Amino acid sequence: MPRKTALFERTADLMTSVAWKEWAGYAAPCNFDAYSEREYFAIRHSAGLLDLSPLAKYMVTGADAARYLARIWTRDITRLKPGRVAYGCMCDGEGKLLDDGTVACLDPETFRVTSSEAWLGWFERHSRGYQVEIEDCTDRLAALALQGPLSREILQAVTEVDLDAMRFFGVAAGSIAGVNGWISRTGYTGDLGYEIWIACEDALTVYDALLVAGKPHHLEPIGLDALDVARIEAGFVMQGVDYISAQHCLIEARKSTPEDAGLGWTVNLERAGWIGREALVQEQEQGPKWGLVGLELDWAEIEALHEEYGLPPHLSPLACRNAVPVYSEGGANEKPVGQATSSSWSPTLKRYLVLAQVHRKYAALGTRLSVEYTVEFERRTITGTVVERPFFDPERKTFTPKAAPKGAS
Amino acid sequence: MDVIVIGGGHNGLVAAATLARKGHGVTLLEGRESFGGVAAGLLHDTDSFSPEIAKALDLAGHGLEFADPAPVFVLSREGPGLLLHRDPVQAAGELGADAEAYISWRAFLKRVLPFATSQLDSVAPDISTSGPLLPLMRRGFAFRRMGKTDIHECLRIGPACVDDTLSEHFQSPLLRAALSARALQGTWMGPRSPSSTATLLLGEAQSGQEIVGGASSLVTALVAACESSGVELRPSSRVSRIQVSQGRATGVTTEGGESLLADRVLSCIGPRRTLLELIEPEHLPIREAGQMANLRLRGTLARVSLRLAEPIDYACRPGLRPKRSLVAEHPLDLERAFDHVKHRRMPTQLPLDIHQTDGEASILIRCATIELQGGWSDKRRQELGDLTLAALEPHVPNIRGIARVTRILTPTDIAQEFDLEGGHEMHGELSLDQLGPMRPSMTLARHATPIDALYLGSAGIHPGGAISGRPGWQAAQVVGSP
Repeated sequence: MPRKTALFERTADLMTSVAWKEWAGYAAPCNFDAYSEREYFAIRHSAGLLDLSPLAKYMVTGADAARYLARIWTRDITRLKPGRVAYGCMCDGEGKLLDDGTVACLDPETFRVTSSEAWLGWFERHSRGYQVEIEDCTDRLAALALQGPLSREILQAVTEVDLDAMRFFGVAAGSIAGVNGWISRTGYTGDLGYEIWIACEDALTVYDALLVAGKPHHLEPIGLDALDVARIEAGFVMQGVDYISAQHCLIEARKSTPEDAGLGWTVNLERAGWIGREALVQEQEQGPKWGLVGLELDWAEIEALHEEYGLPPHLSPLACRNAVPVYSEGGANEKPVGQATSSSWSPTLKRYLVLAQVHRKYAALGTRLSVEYTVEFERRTITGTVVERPFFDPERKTFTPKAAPKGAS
Repeated sequence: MDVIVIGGGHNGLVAAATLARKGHGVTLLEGRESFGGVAAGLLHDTDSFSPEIAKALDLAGHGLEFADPAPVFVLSREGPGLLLHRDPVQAAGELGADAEAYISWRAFLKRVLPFATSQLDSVAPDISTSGPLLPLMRRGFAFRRMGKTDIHECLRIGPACVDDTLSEHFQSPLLRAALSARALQGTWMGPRSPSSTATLLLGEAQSGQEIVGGASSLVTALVAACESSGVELRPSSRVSRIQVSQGRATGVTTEGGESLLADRVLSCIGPRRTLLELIEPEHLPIREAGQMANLRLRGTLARVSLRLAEPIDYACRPGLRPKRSLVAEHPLDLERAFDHVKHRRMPTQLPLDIHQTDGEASILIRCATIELQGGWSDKRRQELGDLTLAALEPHVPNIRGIARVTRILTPTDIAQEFDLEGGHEMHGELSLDQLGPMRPSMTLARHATPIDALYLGSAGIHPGGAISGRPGWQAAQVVGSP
């Protein structure tokens, strides 16, 4: 039975849809209204407020904390400065992906790690030999995501932290609506946005204060459905959807390396001593097998296909997470070359977007592929073209009004 | 080539002398003030030391002599006890109804043990799926040569418990207790634990003649062999780090802060401590780190030393005064003692392994768990001494009059004094999953490690054994090869 987060009474009250889903053992809202479109447009035009508390969170402290995290994480955490956050992933000994998430450096010996699922056992197993303490703080620490172009103004109204000076992937401690917490300029929407980390007992105070501050800006509480569309536009992969954690895979072929899942950029093979490196060095020598690509489906083909059935094209406001086969160009009789793992109509871009894992050979920009598409229970294909990822990448995502001169941290 | 050998126990000494005789420059670093490890004052039995190694290192030239093993006297409260010779003809007179069975048991061992001994005298095969097939096939053929009947019998009894196996052959509980006690050394088992017959066979495969003057004579000869072959012997030099650079061991740092460089490093201390404590964790793949973290090495050994005003005279056979004797009248005594180990308690009835020399007796207790509930304290140490005397009293009524307890070593004391992780004299329990090609793990049993130029050669590595010298000898062959 799902557990309740610290914000359950408020989100349950605001919600008219009674649409809950289980997220990492907690009940989480899918949407607050009959459809998630209003919430989606809040993310892109105003701001959305999401209860992020089910995210797995760990405090890693001690003299060897950075060295230890640099061992289990693909990023070199020893070079992460206080006040900065690094996104990265975690591999098993064979270089297969276990999970992805962020590491925030709060001070040189204190780090907060987030991941999509619980990893305390793994963390502890590999902490031998390091002077380090690991605490699972998922249950005591609430987290809120405030995402959207107006999120800075809304959040600035309730905090003394100078948000104009906070850079992308920065983190700072401060008072938020009168309670102590942390703000990081991170998110899962590919937009300007912040994540707020506070003790569970303070969560309602902050949530309510943000709703009040956000009212003139049309802030909306949002659920996971709107977030899913936004994260596909941003081109972000999701563990369990776009790749399967190696610990859940039943067969070897389902496991992915960071390269396979489009996370190769988080990996530095030159750096020694992190778990999975030796296997990935070998992978690189042989050439990676898979690549994650963004595809755009041909809208005219979708219209024409529906036309054959005498139907108008149907667009779901929801993202689709059912993996479907991808073939080389020419339809389902051609060679299968991968699978489309997430797809969604983008209301902002007016394009049909797909995240797919395909053989390296077919991953080059401009490659035309065939993606399975079902109309009236008949399986057909639509041409998809490999395009740049992220699909949606506004300047405001990284722009900092009071940016420090280059070179200063 | 310059080689650093870490740990100057018998395996470290054997390895250092072997490498030096091949012409390598060898530095032997021992953390304690003296060399020899468990051979210098802890264990008694020397009958597993390999005569081939003694020959190869010319230990006879350094004063080492072998002799037939002394018989073990098994004490009894109800009869004259049992003076057990290994040689079946000598033993026959004492064994009565079991004499014939003992002769045929020894004959069976004589037929099947050469195969086991040949395995102990060679580097373990790689039994992983990626290992080469030919060495396994060779071993398979050698095994096949034992003949159908003996193969069948080995496969039948190997996984069985030693109490069942011995009960099939022998009636005398004293005989069964004596043979079981030997099988259980270095294990975490009782005579009714599955696969204890396998460790019986392993023990038998390693045993032969014993060393005149005991383990200390062996240490003296090995140190002399090291010195004469040019090994630089450095006692009181405990290694705190093995230096690793780009996946290769380059030398060591001692606790004194001294840094020593070498082309190769051979560790003859426990594999777990070597890989988990002496190396920065970044250098060890998680597979091997996991294997070492899961290695079982729960020590059960304690020792009580007595000073004797007059030699011990056993009531069941006055005037015999054997060098070695055993208090365990029935395999069940050993099993009950192990029950206490299993539940982390102090046994109430201690089986004893007594080694008597002029004016002194050293008594090994193999059922004192290092994991004792509440931990070992001065009080529990005292209790161990009292229980030892109490176990002797029925056999030696005047024991409290003639003996004074001079020293009691609990498993924690042994761990500390002899630098043994877990207080385990073999750096890893003997059990089917920690034996042969899996000692200490499938990927580490062939002495090489995932770190280039770092090798393992203690009793925790194939072929193990108490004081056999074989792991050190074989590791030296691997280290010394180009």
